[in-house]
Amino acid sequence: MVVKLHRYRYLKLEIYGNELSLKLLIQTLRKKYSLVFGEIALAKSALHVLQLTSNNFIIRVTHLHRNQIEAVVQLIGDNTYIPVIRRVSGTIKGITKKTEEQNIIMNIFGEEEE
Amino acid sequence: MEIGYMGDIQDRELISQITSFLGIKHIAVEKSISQLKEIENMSNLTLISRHTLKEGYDINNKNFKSKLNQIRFNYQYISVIANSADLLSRLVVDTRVDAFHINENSQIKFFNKKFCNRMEENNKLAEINLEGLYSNQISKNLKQILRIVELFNKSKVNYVISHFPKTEVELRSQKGIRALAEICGVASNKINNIHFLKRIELNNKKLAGVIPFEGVEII
Repeated sequence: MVVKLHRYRYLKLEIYGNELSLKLLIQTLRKKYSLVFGEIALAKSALHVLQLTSNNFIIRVTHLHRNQIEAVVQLIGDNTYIPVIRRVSGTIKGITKKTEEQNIIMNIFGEEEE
Repeated sequence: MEIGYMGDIQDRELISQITSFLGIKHIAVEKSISQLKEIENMSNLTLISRHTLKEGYDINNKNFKSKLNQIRFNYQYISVIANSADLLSRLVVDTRVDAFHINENSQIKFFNKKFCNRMEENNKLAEINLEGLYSNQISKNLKQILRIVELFNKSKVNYVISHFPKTEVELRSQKGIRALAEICGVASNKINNIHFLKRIELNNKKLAGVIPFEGVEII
């Protein structure tokens, strides 16, 4: 059986507030990631960002660095925008798909706690 | 939930927009209960009044009992920033104190294993301040917090975690705060706001007179 050492995780990032360019987002993420975890961790994470719409992005990282990138996303953001990770999936298809059922669940359990 | 919002709630529309975007349903604000009654009526958002007492500014070894007597019935939640062994040992057994604030100035020589056990016995919460992550000197600011968290992880002390935002735009989702706490070494099974909400529920009963003193509840 073939076991992949690095499996990718796709994180859906939503921005509230001012529009953010893809270039600026990548620069900010890379800068903050290297500040917190170092350049070697940044290289290993295989960080890649795609833009869906003006305020929706997809971040791709390896499964080993998923928690780290989730934390780093919270650290970015000046006083003009707020970043939120909405969903994490193993495929791009899974992240873009949004059924009505999932919408209802999100409305009921909006706040993820308890 | 945001357990330590330090800003103002003047722009209600903006706050309700941001909180609904982030999925926040409870916000603890540094205001008294009477002040919050004027602000109330915000849709889908519960405001909790909290107060932080600082050693040296608000309380000291001599006046802490009288100060706590004065303010206990004005706030739902009281947290203390203390960095002297004497005051900490007195406050840990005081039922009017809900939590101990741990920031970059907290020292491991006071927040040691013995103190940790006493916190556990008296059901005190450890309030961890992650504000240091937002500065450029992360290692300097987090050094003490990381050491204390490492010690606390071995015990059954419950945490409440926040980065204490000062404006509406600094607010973050619960999941985000949890991710920040996890990189600081906080055990994921201990990051749960249910302890905070239980504490608030208990304090509300005390304020309403349902629990006149510890261990007695009027039904």
